[in-house]
Amino acid sequence: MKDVSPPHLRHNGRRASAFIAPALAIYLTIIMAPTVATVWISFTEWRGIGDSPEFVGLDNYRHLLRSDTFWGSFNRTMAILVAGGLAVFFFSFLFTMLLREMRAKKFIRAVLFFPNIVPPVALAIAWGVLLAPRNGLLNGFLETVGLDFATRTWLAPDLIFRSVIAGLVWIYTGFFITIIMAGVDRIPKHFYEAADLEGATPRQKLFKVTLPLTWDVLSVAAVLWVITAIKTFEFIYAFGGSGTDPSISTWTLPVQVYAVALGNRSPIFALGQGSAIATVMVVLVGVLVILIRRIMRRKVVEF
Amino acid sequence: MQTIVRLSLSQRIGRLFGRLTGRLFVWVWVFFSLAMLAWLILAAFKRNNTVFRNLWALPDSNEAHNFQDAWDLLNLTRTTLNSILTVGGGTALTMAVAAPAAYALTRMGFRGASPLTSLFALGIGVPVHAIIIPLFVGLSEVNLTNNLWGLTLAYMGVSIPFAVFLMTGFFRSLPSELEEAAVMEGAGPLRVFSVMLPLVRPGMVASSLIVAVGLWNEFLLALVLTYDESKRTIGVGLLNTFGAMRYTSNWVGLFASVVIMLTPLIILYTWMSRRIIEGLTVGATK
Repeated sequence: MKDVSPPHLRHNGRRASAFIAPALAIYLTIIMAPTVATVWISFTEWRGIGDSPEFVGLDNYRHLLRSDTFWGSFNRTMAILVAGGLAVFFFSFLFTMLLREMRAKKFIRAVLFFPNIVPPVALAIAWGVLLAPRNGLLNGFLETVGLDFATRTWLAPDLIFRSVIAGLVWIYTGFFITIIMAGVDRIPKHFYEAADLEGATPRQKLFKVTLPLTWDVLSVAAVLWVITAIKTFEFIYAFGGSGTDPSISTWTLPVQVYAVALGNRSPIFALGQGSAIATVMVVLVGVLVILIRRIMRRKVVEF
Repeated sequence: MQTIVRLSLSQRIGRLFGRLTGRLFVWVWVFFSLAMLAWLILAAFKRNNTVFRNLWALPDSNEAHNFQDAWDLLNLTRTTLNSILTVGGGTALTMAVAAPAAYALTRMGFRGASPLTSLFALGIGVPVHAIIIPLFVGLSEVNLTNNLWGLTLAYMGVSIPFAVFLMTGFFRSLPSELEEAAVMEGAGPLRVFSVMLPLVRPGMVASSLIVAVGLWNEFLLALVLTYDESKRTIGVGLLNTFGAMRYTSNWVGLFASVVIMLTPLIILYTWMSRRIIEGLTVGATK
């Protein structure tokens, strides 16, 4: 192999490894090795320390495929991913477009981002206070302004998961606005001025200027959303159970992993089961990320 | 001719109307978020028996003892200390290993830098749930469960991928003249690194803040990897306080707990929000 790197960078592999080794070692020990172990545990039946894992092949997965609870969790995770995702990206784009011409842009962005640095438990508490059926802020507000007919039992089993998704959209929109806005801000002003001169409509500006020129940022944002949507746990856990075991109508894949494998009130320590669900999550993230990269790969527009 | 003018006028009015509705919507969203925060803070000063009876009333008395209750509910002296140790330690150690790694991955031009960068980025996609069972078992093998060092180590592991990802973004954005000059003068790799490090100070600050805030708010790892009351972090404390609500019904105590946990974050955020937000976007847009 011919070394084409500049002279001062030659033979840097060994030097570089000293810089990388500590981070890599910890990363492999804490993240990668356990991930592989989880896949292995998913082929066993195991009740935890003191019990020896028994190899059962694909039994855990077969069990999942026949379990309504699992499909419920799976579908709710998908609902967050798709419905929540559409809402998050719609609002993020809308806000980015609107904020471009507003003077309080930085302030608004900071307020919208704020939920992302608040403990999810605190957000769950706030969301619970907002949506509580009696004495809740939302119903209280609707009654005060005379919209009694619009009040709902937001935390009833048929509505609670929609309330969860609404909460997640409220939290994460602020995060995705910042990323998408950073992409849009890089677009030189004269593109829009030129578009204005030629009488472009806002829609044309969106599709002919903004989208093509932010495509790479959008692709990163889409990948981040997939990861976020599948692994988001703490808000759902705290909101769905008010700080204890959540009701089954709010279970998503990570909540179910926690409930069956680790639990808090009455854990059943089904580590094989839990690991199988966790493996499904990893595969889901992997497949969707690859899919998004494939679909969204296209020539980056240089500007 | 006339119709075209009239059309464009009505279009213009339509667009103006659209823009105003849009702005109104933005302000409603902003107001909603701020109002919720304000309500929680005010509620922390109210009386437990009236807090939900009159939702929009201002506190009629200064119930400072709510904060005393919250202090006890959260076991705050202990949990704050544990959180500061594990979050502070985890963040400092994460940055200590992530910064050199990110530097080497972006600026030392060796073969394998690109796949290694991808390997680190892969970690961002791994849910904590996919590691927590073996991590618990593994740490208990070496007696690091129910141990603040063990928790700190776990915090490092889960923070490294994102910290490396952010820092590679910052290092990549540096011009190469300075390091070339340093190399010309015969500086070794460690010396060059120490020349470059101050240039990414904004990145170090932003990444540390993002890592620290994430760990401060975290409760899953702490909940699973530690179990003694004396090892609890503030995140677990808040969750337990919330969970105990169905027996104690001390809502104002809970709100005071939330306010206590939010206070350092609000102070930090009003001071540093621009750095946090801009720091986050470097990785995504570079």
